[in-house]
Amino acid sequence: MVKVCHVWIGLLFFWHLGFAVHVQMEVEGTPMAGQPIQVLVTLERSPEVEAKHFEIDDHPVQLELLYNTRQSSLSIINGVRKEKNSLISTYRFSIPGKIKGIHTLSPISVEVDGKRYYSNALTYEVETPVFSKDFFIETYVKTHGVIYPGSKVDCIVRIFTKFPCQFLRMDFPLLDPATGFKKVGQERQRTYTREGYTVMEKAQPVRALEPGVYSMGASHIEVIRYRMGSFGEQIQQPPTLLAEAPSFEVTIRPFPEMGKPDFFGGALGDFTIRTELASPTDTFFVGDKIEMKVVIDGSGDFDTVNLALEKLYSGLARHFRFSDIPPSGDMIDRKKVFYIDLRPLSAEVKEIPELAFASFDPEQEKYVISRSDPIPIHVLLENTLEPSLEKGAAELTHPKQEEKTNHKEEIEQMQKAAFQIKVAPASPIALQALNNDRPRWNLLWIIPIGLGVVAFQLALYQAIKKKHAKGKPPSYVYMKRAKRAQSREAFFGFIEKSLVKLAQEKLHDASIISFHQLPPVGSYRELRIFLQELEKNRYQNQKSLSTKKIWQEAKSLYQKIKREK
Amino acid sequence: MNHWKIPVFLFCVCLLPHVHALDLSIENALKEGYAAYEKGLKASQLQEQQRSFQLALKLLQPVANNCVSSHLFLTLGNIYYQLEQYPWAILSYYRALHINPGNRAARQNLKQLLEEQKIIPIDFYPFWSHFFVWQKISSVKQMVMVISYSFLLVFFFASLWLWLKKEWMKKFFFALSIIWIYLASNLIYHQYGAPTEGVVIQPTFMRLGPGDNYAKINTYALSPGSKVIIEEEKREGDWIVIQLPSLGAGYVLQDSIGWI
Repeated sequence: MVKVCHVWIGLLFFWHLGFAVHVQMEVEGTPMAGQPIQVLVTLERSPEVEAKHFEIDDHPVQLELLYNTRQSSLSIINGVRKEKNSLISTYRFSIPGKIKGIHTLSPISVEVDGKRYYSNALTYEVETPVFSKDFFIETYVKTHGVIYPGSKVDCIVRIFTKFPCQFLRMDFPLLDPATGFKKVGQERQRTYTREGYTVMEKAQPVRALEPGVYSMGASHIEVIRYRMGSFGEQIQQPPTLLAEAPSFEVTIRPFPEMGKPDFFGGALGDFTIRTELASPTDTFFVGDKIEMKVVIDGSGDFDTVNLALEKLYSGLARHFRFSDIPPSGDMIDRKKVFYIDLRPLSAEVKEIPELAFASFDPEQEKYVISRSDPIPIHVLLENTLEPSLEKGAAELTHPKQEEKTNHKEEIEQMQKAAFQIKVAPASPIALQALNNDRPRWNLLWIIPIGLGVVAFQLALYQAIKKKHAKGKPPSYVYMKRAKRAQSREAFFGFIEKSLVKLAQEKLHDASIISFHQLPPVGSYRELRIFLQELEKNRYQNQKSLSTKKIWQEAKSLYQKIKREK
Repeated sequence: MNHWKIPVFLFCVCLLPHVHALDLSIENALKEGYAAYEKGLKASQLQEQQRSFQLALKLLQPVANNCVSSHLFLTLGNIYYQLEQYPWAILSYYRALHINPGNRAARQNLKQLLEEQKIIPIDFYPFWSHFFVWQKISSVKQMVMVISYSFLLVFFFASLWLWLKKEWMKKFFFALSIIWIYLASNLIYHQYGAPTEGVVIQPTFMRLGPGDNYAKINTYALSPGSKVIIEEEKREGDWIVIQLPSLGAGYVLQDSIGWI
């Protein structure tokens, strides 16, 4: 009993180890007096369970998830393979600034899988910030004039130092603006020297989104000086130094309303538009796809160039159908090229009208409007072509169509292509056939019923066998078993047992348990010789010995002895 | 008859005309829906075609949601294709194939559509799922039928072996039993083991957590029409967890994913 208890305790211990949840807190950087303190929380748990409801002193805390890391470990102890997967999540939250001194933060708790887990309390020291004239930062937004929605600007942070230092904490909100701007591209970093300072410059390209005045938060950086030791190691030289850059505001100005065209889509620069037909022909049937190439050329920010079709084609919507998803253009030879699919809705369409493209030139502070030339096309209605095919080319008025009627097969193919479903069509379905694909789960009842019937047959078979064996002498039962024996070995065994039992029954001598004890006279002598031969052949493992022949001989001997009085 | 059974019986009798009416409304929706579909196919004007397909969609979509018909989803896929709502067309073809993997037209249309939309179907199932090949090519209905009838064969040989005790019957019984177990395991895997799949309907970003305030996992939005695996058990409000081989797991808004 004690042993069993030990095993259970051991199992519970390992189970506990396998699914342990760990919560840890630490302060990010060195807390400075009067400044918000960033606290990092690390939670390790099994990936299958969720963590929720963080609390400190029974008050809920809002945490920001920074990242998740997965860890796997594999151990083989005494040949037993154990794999442990864990998910380590790192969160951050901030607490208000404190005065100089040592402070304690109560343990944070989290609910994981219905159970609450606690970290240790966190003790940290708040220092008075130390500033140095040899270490400062500079933040600004680099623009080329006024910022309009869509303008691309660089948010820049420069760190000036005159000594080698380790960075302890950096907080540059302008490199990751929350509102008003969107990051475009990777952050760039370069280092250079200026006026005795080593300057590290970080630049994040961003794009202005909506007009408004946006605040770029104050930037902070904490460093600690170091000098190189005798063995090349870095020896830190306190105190921690702090540098700050104040928050500042950036204004995104709205586009001027005066002279703003309806179809202006936000392009910044001075652009011109040109259109041409990309389809190999200019004759189409109603519903055919017409591919049109649109080329935007000029100077400016090509990333802001897009074709807002609903604006460009507002007058065309009743003549053409086109996708409401703006086409994505490609830069080819310093031009932006778009391909647009249009489908004419009627045979009345004679041309793809001009397209007007508007852009805003921030240098000139005015709108630039460019128009393309209309593209003439010929749209044929499917039904109108039938009679013309029969009568020949005479009724087709347009010269291009006349040319086409010379290629009757080609036109027929075009006719078939127009409005023809491209995918395999589906025929109508009847109400009765609606659930034809529904599985007939009832059929599976065959399995338990069949198993029941097999069990019943098995019981029946056993009962019949038992009934047959009842009242029959053992020699007879063994003879029957020999007949049904599955292997040669069993067959020989049952034959021998049957004949020895028969001798027992006939001689009324229960002491006969082997053929060696059979009397060497009459039929018993014959039986003894037969069994001797059988045993000899059996143990010499003579496969050539015919079981059929042995069965016949054994059967005749059995019947002969049975008949004797 | 007990007293409480009388009102129940009367209630059931009253329900009968309603059930019949429901059948009639489905039948009408089917008739009119397919008529509109046919009309759309034969339309000579694009506007007329659009109107017909829209009507067909309006009538057939509710019917498809309440029955199990691969053929009906094929039709819906075709309608969505004609209306150029390609992600929905892809989803409908996948649904048709989910119900009946033997639906050749749906398979052909899906292949054509994926090629047209330049969507590369990615096979991201666990390697052991390839063991259950049969469930990929047979419908559940076919699987149930084959498993049931093949059990009769196993049962027959088990009985023969029991009564006649012939060695070859025993071998036959064991061979059939192994085959039957494989077939049954395919059905069990299909019903309980196979991952839930979905199709991206709208361009969407995968996020680290269930909310817009969580970081994006992917730089570019998931393209509509892509197939994903849905981890149903990890749902949080309107956010569900999906899996992609290249990006791993992440949260997306459930409205942007269509269940297959």
